[in-house]
Amino acid sequence: MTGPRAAGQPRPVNGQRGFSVVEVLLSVGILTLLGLAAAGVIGGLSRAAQGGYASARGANDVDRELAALRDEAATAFAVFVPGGAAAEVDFYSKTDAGRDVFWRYTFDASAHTLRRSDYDPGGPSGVRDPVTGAIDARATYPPLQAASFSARVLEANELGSSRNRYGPVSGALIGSGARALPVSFDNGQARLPDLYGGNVIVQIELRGAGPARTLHLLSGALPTGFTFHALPVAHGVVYRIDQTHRFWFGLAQVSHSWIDGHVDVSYDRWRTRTAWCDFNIYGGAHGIDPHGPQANYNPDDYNESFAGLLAQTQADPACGPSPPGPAAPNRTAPFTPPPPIVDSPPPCFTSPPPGEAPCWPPSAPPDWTPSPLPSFTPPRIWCLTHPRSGACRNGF
Amino acid sequence: MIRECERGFTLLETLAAVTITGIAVLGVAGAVAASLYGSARSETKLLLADDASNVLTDLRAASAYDPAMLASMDGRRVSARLALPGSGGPRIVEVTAGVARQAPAGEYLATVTATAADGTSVTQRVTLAAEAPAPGSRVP
Repeated sequence: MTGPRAAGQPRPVNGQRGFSVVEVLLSVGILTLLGLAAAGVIGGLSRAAQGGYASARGANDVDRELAALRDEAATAFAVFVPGGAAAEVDFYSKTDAGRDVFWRYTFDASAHTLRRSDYDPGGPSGVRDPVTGAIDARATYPPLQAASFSARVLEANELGSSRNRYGPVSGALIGSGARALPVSFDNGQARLPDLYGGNVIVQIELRGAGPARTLHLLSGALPTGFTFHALPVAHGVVYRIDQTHRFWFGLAQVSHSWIDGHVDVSYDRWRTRTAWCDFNIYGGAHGIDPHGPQANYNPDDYNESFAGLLAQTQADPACGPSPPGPAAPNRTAPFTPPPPIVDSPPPCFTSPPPGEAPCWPPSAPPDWTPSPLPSFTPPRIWCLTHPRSGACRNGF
Repeated sequence: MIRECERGFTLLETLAAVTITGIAVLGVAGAVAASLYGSARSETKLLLADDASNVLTDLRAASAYDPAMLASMDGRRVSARLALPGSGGPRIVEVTAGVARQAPAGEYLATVTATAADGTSVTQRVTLAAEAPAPGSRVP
């Protein structure tokens, strides 16, 4: 359909005429349909992408939280669930200064959040000052949005049971011979019935924006090494060998450690207890080894994880004046003793002042310098809090 | 007379333009879909890594104090289909785990492979060793 042409307007040649109304309407309709379809597709993809992004972001948050839990378990002496409370998982460790450190992750089912908090048993909960150790009850850690959370304890002898999500695999490999070996603590403060390490596993199930995640936590400092504490005289910690591959004794040097005092440990949740008595460990460049009367002693016979066990050879209450040390293994070839140990105990170890046995008391003023100055340098951690001490001026 | 620069698009030009636009839209859609698939796949891999890691943690807990336990696992290889918590329903995972003796003596290599229903799999390995005598035991 075409309208009347104006007079004098040139007649369009064939192929050059404009579109008719019908053609225009038809094409507009088709384009509109195509546009709507394209918009629908793009909108759907956009929504899916946004959902995917949100899910990924939530999954990342959960992933970070799980990574934090895993790392914290690796440095904790114990991961435990107090009172069987499924909505909480707790950690226990100890600072180099000998201070107990507790922290936990608590799930709030009404707010759908999982939040970390530091606490002292029976005391406040909040955020701990890393220097003073005081808890700020007004401070909080940022929460993680979580749809659900649960924690349950799995003893090593339960790993094949239906309580373990992975029981059909772990149980088939382990069999029925796995033993639960709990390790409890007692330093006068942290003696809680549910607080024990060893080879116990805490199974965490956490659901954030994405699918549920399952995590098995194993305390890192205890199961494969040895940990013991004593207050107020000394404490020592042997971290897991495959993690740090060295000793860290809080009050000793790399090459000499003095474990002094009465240390109680339990391997059966306090049904029985073991007492640990005084002993010395000396070492040289090859590592720590006992400097005892063993004529046939070879440091290679005792790896680092044995050092703690040397103390155990003295059972309560018959702690003698000198440690017996380990029995020398049977060896056909004579052993050449290691080079003489040049280190000697610092004065404060050989004659500790009354009530102040540690060489490097954590409560000392920042500029405190022992006199006479020991030939041993203090632990780095001590120098961080005592930067003006004369013992810390040589790069420590 | 309509000048050359004022004439409309020809049908061929229009079809070419529509085709090019369509290809571009399809390309964008494909990229978005690939991204979504990749995201889902990486999430699956995360979950599978959790699964493998958890089984290895179990093995370490059971054997860290116990050389006899390690020796008893030597050469064993087990496989099980697990229904684990997922997004909506259970997440089916095939988990295969094995332990084999390796040098030096006293060390064992544990290998765990977790495979999702879509064939995505993750393998993790760790060396197991009786890293310390059992708590409470005496030095011989």
